[in-house]
Amino acid sequence: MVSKKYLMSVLLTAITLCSEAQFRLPQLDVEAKGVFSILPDNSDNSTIKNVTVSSWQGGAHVQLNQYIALGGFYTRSFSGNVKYQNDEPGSAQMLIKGLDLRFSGGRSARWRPYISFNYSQVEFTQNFGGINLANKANAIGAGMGLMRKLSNNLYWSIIEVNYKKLNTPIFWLDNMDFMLEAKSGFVYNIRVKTK
Amino acid sequence: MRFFHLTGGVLLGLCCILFACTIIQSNDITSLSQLNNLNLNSIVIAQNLDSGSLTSTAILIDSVMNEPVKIDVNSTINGNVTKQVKINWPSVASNSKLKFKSGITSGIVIKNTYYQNGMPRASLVYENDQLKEAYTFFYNNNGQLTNFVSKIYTTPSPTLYSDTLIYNSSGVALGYVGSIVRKTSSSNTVTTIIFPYTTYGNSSNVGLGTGQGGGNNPTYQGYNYGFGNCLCGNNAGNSCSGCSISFGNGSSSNFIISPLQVGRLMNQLQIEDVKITSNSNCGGSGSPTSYDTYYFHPLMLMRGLFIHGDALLNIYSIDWWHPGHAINSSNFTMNETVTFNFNYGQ
Repeated sequence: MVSKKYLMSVLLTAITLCSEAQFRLPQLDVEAKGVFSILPDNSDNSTIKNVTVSSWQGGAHVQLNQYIALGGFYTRSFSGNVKYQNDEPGSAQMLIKGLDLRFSGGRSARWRPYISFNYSQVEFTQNFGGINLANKANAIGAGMGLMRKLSNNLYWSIIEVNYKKLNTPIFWLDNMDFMLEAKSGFVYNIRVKTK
Repeated sequence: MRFFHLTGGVLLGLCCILFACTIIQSNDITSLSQLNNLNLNSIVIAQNLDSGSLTSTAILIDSVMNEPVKIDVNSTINGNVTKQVKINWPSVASNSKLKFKSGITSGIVIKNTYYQNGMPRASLVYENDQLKEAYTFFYNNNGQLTNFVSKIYTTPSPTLYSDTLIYNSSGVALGYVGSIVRKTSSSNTVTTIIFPYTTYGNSSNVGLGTGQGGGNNPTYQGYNYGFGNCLCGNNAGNSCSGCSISFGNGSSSNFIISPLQVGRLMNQLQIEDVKITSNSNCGGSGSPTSYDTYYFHPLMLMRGLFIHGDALLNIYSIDWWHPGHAINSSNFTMNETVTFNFNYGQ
């Protein structure tokens, strides 16, 4: 699934960035969130009501300063349903991996609102009469959220809402091409002291 | 410091590896053209009936014709029949809602033949190698079905319907079948049945029914057909369609068809005999009838292949739908359903 060539390039990049970090020491935060996504029907003559997916998300951000962070996220579904007008739902899976740029309030405040802009790859699969249908799309999106400070290192991301626009509509689902997400979870700051 | 190096490096490496992960397998279907080239392997026929549930499976066997047969009688279409699909149909139980017009119940084999462009040429129903029902399709050069011939081998003489399909050339239902001119062998008569259309939700959402398109509900063989989707769920548009038949002294019967279709492929087709109409938007229903009977029709299996196949299957309810007889009072606790689940393979 992952080629050796790819792994080598990843390793080299990681080593390079780690050595760069000796001269500049950004702080990291890692996050774990639950995500609920919905792809609404956007066609009047659709047999489909909507698609709902529940996922977990892991992510990490490098904090360029206390207001701006750049990171990546990985979202994998654990439950997904394609809901039809007159039928039992069909099961679906989704995988999203991407990068995001987050602008937030200062770290010291109890309430820390933020907005983010993201670019991601969205993979979606559904079993259809014994075969697997699959769609892969790039997506750009934006969102906003609110964190509450629980301790010096720990934040509770109470709610985050996101909109993602797919560049390749899901071809078997009446060309659904956007999704809405609601997320909640925790963000942990890994503090790093400078020399 | 060292901690950061380690953590940052590991995190970055992990992120990159995760980015290379995928849930898409090499044999997944990733385009509409791939999807339309799949083979139908089996059809599970599930009937949810008042008398209990019935589930049976029809098995399909594809074969390429060894010698393509040029079969178009008028030679108006350049094409050969290149493929035959043989379907071993399950035996028909005595309480089955889905029956065959010829009355056959076992040893049933259906042979469907197709042109090289994928459109069906004929659907032939056999009982122990004896032809019992024959349905034949004819097209114009635009791929529109122009003639449809149904022959049921009943005794003492076969019943033959020879239909000419006339397409609307204007109005909301431009390109849809507006009428059928039917020649019947038994009575040697010619009947024209005109079908009304309307729009649901928006102007591109066309379906059978009275309304914007004008026209009245057709009457055929003593039945008045009222097409529409008021028995479907709210906001169904034309994704679900139905019909109410009324006859005799105010008796009425209803069905709705709910398909699941992607491209030309049907995933599921459900026909529901709607007896409980109280929660619908249709208002009051007529005097009750007992549960209806549905007769096999090739469009039940091939609906997805035709232009506006949804309307065609609805139109041919004049053949496959047989309403139950009038009863004095009803005590229905459920709507009966016949569901075709189509299973595909590469």
